Amino acid sequence: MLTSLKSSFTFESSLLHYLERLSLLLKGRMKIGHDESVGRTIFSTLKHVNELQRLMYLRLVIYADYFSESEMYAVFCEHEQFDDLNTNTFLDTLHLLYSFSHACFLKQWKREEIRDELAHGFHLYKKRMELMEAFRAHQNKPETVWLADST
Amino acid sequence: MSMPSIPPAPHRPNKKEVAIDLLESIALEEIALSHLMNAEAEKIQAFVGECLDFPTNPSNKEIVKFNKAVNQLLETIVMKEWLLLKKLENVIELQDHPSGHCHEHPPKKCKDHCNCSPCHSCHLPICSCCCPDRNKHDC
Repeated sequence: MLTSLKSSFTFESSLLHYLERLSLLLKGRMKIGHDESVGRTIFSTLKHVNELQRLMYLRLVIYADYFSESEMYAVFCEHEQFDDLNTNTFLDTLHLLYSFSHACFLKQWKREEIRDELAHGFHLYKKRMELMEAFRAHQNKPETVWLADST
Repeated sequence: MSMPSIPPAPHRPNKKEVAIDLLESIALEEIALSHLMNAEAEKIQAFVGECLDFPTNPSNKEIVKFNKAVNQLLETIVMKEWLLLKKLENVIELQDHPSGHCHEHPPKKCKDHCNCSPCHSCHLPICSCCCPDRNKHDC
């Protein structure tokens, strides 16, 4: 059953790939001069990404309620993307999107909304990483090693 | 209007198999969403070009339209993910605990030494609903 959790990591790495390409599109649009429209896109993207992060966190919590930390970590360490997801690339991409909004022509309240969404995104990411750290603390336990080998 | 007749099947899955199939379907749906996002990312790359030069020379209107379609995909994926989470919650409710321990720990320990196996995590006896002699042992 726990192996179905692996799809979450695949999804997360695809989301990251999508965001990187979206930032290219926004960069291209900035060059052309679509300032205000780009600002709106940044806001809605951050909002949607935050919602996805919240859903991913809830999913982890559901699984964590049912499985031990060792079992959870055994799945994480098997996943080839696991290290990539811990190297802050996700946060860097969110920050890159946010940085585009500086150059956009936007009202002050809209800027504040975008900033709030970014802060919320950072908070959600931190929460998720804290949960993963709790699993990682069990990485050297014999049960974890055995489970990782057997999967 | 008559009742539908269900043809006999060679194999009817039991509850546990159904739960596993449902979980597999959730994972497969999520993988499908991942493929869609990867495909959209590649589409953006092709539209924007290697040097951000928009190789197809789209008009401003076309670029805005493209960007809107890209945003709509993300919105749809958020909704689909939300549905998948609800589905997962329902499947988890449906099935017994996978690793052998109970949803809620028993309020008290088994008075007699019946054959109920201990919980893998908490080492308390399995909850009364799993014990075949629950009335006898009052566990």
